[in-house]
Amino acid sequence: MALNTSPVTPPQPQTSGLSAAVNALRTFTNSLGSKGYLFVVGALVLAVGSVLSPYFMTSRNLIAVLITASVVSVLAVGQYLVIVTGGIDLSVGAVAALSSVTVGLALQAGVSWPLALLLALLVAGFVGVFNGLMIIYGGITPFIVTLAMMSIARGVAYILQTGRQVAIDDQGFLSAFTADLGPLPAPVVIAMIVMIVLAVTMSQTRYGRRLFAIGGNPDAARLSGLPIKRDIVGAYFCSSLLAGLGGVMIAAQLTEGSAIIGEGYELNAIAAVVVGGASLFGGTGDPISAVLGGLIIAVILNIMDLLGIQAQPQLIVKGAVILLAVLFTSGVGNKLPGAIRKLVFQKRYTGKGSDLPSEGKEKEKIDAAK
Amino acid sequence: MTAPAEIASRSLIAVAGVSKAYPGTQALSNIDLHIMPGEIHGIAGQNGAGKSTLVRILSGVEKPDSGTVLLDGLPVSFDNPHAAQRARIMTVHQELSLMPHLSVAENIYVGELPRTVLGTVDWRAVRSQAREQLLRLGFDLDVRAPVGSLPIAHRQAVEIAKAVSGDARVLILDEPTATLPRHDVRQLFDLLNQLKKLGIAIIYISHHFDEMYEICDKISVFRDGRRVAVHEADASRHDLILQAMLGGVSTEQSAKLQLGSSETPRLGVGRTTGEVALAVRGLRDGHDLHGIDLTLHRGEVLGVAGLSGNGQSQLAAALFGAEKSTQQSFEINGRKRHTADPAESIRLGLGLLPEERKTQGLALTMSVTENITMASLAKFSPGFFLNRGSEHRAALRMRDALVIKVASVGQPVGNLSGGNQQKVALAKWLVSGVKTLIIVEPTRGVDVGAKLEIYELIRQFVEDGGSVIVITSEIDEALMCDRVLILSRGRISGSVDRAEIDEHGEAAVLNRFN
Ligand SMILES: Nc1ncnc2c1ncn2[C@@H]1O[C@H](COP(=O)(O)OP(=O)(O)OP(=O)(O)O)[C@@H](O)[C@H]1O
Ligand SMILES: [Mg+2]
Repeated sequence: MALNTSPVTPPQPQTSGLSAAVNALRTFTNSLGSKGYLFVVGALVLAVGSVLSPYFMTSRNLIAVLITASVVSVLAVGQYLVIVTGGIDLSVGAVAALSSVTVGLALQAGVSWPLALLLALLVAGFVGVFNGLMIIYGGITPFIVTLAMMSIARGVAYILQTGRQVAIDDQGFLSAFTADLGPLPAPVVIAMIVMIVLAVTMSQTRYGRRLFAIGGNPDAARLSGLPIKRDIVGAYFCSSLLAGLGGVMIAAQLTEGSAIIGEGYELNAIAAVVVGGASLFGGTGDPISAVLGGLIIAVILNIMDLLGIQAQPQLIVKGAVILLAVLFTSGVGNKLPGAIRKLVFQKRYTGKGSDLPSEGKEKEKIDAAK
Repeated sequence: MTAPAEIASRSLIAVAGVSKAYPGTQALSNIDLHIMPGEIHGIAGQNGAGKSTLVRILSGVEKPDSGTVLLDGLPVSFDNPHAAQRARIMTVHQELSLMPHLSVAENIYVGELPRTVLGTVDWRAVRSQAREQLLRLGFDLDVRAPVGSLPIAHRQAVEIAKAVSGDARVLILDEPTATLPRHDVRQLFDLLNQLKKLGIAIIYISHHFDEMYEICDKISVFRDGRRVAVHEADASRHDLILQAMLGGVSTEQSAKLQLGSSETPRLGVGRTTGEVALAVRGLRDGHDLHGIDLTLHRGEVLGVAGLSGNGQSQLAAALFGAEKSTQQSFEINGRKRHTADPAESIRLGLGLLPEERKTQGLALTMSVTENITMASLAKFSPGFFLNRGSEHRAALRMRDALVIKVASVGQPVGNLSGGNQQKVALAKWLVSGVKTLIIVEPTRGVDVGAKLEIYELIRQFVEDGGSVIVITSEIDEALMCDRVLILSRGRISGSVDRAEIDEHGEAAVLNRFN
């Protein structure tokens, strides 16, 4: 074989303005920690919003966005608990509707509002426990169980409400869920409390650790003696409970309970979680990122509203956002930036000549002792 | 002596100046290595030395940060594993990469299924060829069975059959015999010698030196990502190789590491009490276990030996309550076991290090610390909140005791080298505070130095009042126990006590195999 004695020129990574910019951006996002990219995406979405609509940056609009985001976030945090175990809960939108109807009916019946709230949460929590038990003891996949429950819960809501909707005029209830608490609207405060409680639960308690373990490897978790059945039921319970809370929050905003509330909210919640970077295979992510994801989703929805985009195209955008988020948080997405950079900047060494390394370096140490 | 340049150009496969860094670890630095046609080149090195990293680079799984891979003296760059396979570089990775739901035959021929004239898959040909490949390795398996249903040794055989079924020019085997019973290693070696005659270049990675001296021509030694030496593969070089690998060994340590050292360590301390740690009568699981009676005394190390595939992992699972079983009586540490449930077993003070660490023992996305404390969360954090400080200290303690090579204990376990993952799985039980432990293949995949550390830790565990069941297919390991039961086709076919072992050596156990 021909020997090549030409001097070595190790392939130098070429620097250009673009790659420097990419690098700078990367260092910046890294410096923000694991949530860095969320802030960047968030800023990007805000910038797009303010360019596209003059109303976007008004305080009135921003508060409206926050209120939408708070409902999405409450559902998303619950959804996150299920997703971290490797499951999914498609029933949250329907559960929100059921709970809004329940709270409305209870208030109409003259029940005091804290009791009505408790009743709605109880109904929602019951649905969650049922989901969990079907998954664990029925051996049915979460997708199927919660898909079926999505239909059942909404059906029950329709039957319960009888009329078109259940009007709510209990002032105590309305002010508790809509009034301003200090500088912030009540829904925002509720969402923040939920987020903080769950963030602490996930990162600082044994229950949180166990959920991560279940999502990471259910077999290993079981063989480590963790009560995985109980914990999984617990996760679906929490998800439903928070969906119920979300439903009550919507009911207060609309001053009515209704079976059509929360249509498609399961998608918003799932989108928020995956935009927040959690893997649908479980074992990763955190509630705060899910809330940031929820904020981004809410802003995107708001921009589309401001632009007068109809509900139907909005569905397309929402689906696309989920696909994009999953693409970027899964393996493919991780490789994508590198692959693009390589395409743009790097010449591959497949040539036969100048890339040959110096053969002289290869020093045989065979039996050096000899 | 030929000029180095000429050697490099005549080599079939070579790497020049290859480096690879992971966050916190320089896995490979400036590796030069070349292998001639028909050469079997061994790579030795401690856990985490970088062996598998080199394999991943050669097989197109990962790209080097710098340096070149040369095939026939020409630089090549593989964008993905498929590209390496097209260049006829076939690899058996340390972590098996089979698809559990596909059949044995489909796994062997995945991607290149033989076709009939009509263009449909020729299933008859697929099956008969797959069978043939496995028979070459001495395995007579049902090629229609899904791979997921096979014991781990058979899966390893399928993986090897898959690699040699193609028209390989370069064959890379990363610890192929870690899960392969010793008697099947013979068949593998016969096959490798045939391939060698065909001029195939073979890279062979193992922690078993006797194997390497037998099959390899040369052995490269890796330490901390560097290739620190290369020697003729000959037992007479064992000391030099150990020195290079461990970076200097004490004479005492080296005596223990000798091949076939007369000073076989004992696992037990020989202070068995009459107290019962675990006793089961008539254990059956309905398919693989047919009425097993077993008693483990406090302070005892009980070996369960037997050729693999005789019910070892099933026995471990049934004893731990991971699988349902029926039995006349079951007692752990003096208390009756009521249900087959790992949580209950742990409560009664019993732990299990399963055979399949990666799928059953570890959560790969979680950190080293989180894995180590997984079975004893309540012990470390009795209160409502996690006590990260005490978890961290325990993890550091285990890292030092088991010489686990990690950049930090906060690193995900999935990023550790194969042998270091094994150590984490063991560490989980050592910190858990259980008094009785079932360990399946205690030293699988760990390097020679770590092997001694693990034996020492088991001895320490027993010294501190623990009792251990060691389920092993390594005869040497069985001989270290206080007493050995022979497991054969789901039954205990014999029992050998210490006196017999001392008198007859391995014959005492081997004679009971059938
Ligand atoms: N994806 C990764 N991220 C971070 N570190 C990694 C990753 N993969 C490997 N490493 C580190 O690189 C080093 C070399 O690992 P490698 O798997 O090559 O070891 P090895 O020699 O094959 O060891 P073993 O005998 O245990 O299989 C280890 O310290 C390991 O922790
Ligand atoms: Mg390895």
